[in-house]
Amino acid sequence: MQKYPAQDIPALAVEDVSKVYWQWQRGGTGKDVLKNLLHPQKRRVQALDALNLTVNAGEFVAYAGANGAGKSTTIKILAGILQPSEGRVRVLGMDPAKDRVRLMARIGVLFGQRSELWWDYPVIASYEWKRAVWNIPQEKYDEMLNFATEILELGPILNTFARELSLGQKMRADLGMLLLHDPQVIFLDEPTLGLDLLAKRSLIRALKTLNRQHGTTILVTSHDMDDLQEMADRIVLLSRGRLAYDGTFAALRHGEAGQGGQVRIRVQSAGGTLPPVEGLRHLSTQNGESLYALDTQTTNINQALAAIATLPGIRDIEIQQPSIEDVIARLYQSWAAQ
Amino acid sequence: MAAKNTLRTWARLMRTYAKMDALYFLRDTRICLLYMFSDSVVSISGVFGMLLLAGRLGQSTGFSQNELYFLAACALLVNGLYDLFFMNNNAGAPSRIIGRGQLDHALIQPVPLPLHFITNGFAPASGCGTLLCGVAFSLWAAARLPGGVWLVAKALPLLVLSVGILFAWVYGVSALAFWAPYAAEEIAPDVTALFSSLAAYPLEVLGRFAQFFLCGLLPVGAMAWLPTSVLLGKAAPGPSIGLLAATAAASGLVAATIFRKGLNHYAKVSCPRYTGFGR
Repeated sequence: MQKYPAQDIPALAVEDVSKVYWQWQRGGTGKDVLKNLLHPQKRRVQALDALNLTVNAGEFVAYAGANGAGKSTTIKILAGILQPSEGRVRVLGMDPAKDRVRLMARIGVLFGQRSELWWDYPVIASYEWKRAVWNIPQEKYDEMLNFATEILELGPILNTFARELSLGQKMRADLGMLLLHDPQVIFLDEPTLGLDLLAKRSLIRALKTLNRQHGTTILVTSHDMDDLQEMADRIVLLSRGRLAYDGTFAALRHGEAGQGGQVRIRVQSAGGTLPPVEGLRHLSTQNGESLYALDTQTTNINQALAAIATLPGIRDIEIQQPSIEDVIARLYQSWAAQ
Repeated sequence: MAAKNTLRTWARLMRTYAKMDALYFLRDTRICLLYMFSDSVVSISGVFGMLLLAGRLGQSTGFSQNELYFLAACALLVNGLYDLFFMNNNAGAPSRIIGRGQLDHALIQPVPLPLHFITNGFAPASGCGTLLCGVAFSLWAAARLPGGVWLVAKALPLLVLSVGILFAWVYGVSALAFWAPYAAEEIAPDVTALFSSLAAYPLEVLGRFAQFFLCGLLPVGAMAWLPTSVLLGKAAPGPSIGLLAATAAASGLVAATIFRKGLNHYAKVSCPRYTGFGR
């Protein structure tokens, strides 16, 4: 059920947006202290540099980058909390700075390390507060509360005081609260930070259901690339405030950083060193386990596997793709070296 | 139409925050009783402090002892009204919200900021202790004066202006936290302490300029002394009420201007608490 089908107006439109901060600089010497009294030294930090980004309604976008790349700054700008130094921002066709009140009724923002729950109240009291402040019609509130309770398994914690919730429960309760006004766009800044495996899986499943069933546009940041890959179809990578990559995870993996479709094949055999196989580059052999590299752009993987299968004493064959974490780590390293 | 909508939103938010306050206050019988007991001790000791002060000051201030009781009661009423409307959620101490980087929580709500600030501190259950003591004390004090208990009803509109002045000063000064979040985080309680600690003093003994200064420029005298002087017939009502209203309007205007400038700065740099020297 797509409640918000793709329209002419993109959900998010970021055009040539730049953001500059100034950082205080000072050494520890007396001379430096005196010099700073007269002329404080400040360093210009370009948090965002002519960023362009368009996200259509119903998209689930992962927004990633190394520390200080400008992810949180972008989310604050999109939410109208921060003004860009230059450029134009539109969320659902509105200017977040000028239409803040109207926009906030249609979007939701969740900062991973901050909670919107009322600390000294049961979760349901925070939800009732939100219904009143956001002026959500009772029917819509009931519908979304049921939806959130179901997908986030909130039933057992609705009457628990927020201060007594575990980190995972708190994050689920926060996300449930975020959904009560049925936002068209949600921004999630590191929602999986600090969560255990089960809590992460539960949260990711809920977000995917929300995106699929309600057509909610989601922009999510995280440093955990596996989480992002599991959640989103599209990944946008930032480097020093600039758009460095915008595409699918698959294309990213098979691109330059994914070493052009390089995969590794691990072969376990009963005997010692295996003879060479055409199209494969032998990397190592240890304890009956041989490792080969294969370039999928030059060698047919089926033929290579068939050739391996004919070798004597083969017990097991495993194809290893480079992990998305490795691919992105290589990218970060290459950007840092530039 | 817009004004009607704003009024509706205001009423809805006041109802909501009243409910949240009642839920907090009644969350546990033991804590609730303890809260009421400690609140009563604080309020009654505040009243006794003022009674002792009035007893000491009686002779040389131009106010009789009963008039001084009424002045002290009016000061307590101002504090009580301020607590009632702005005690919760640091609405009466906005420098804490700004300095701690918590303004974002307000900015992501679909509510105009001024409406947010004048509603989210409403504490009719947990914040009414001082006001109840103030009402009782002022009724007792007014009954000993020629005007009788009606003086309290007459005082209320003037004291609402006084609360407005206090609110404006607290917000105007708290705006410093936009530029210096760490240093100015606790400045709002200092402003309320300055006003409430000086509110109960009669300014009769001071010269005209000092009186004007303390009612118009640093209006601690506008908290209780000026309204009380009008009600007791010690000051001409027209100019005095005019000065009170003008001070409230000017304080509000200046505070709104400074706060808006601060918000613009916040929109550029967010909360700079954890950058540079933190300031």
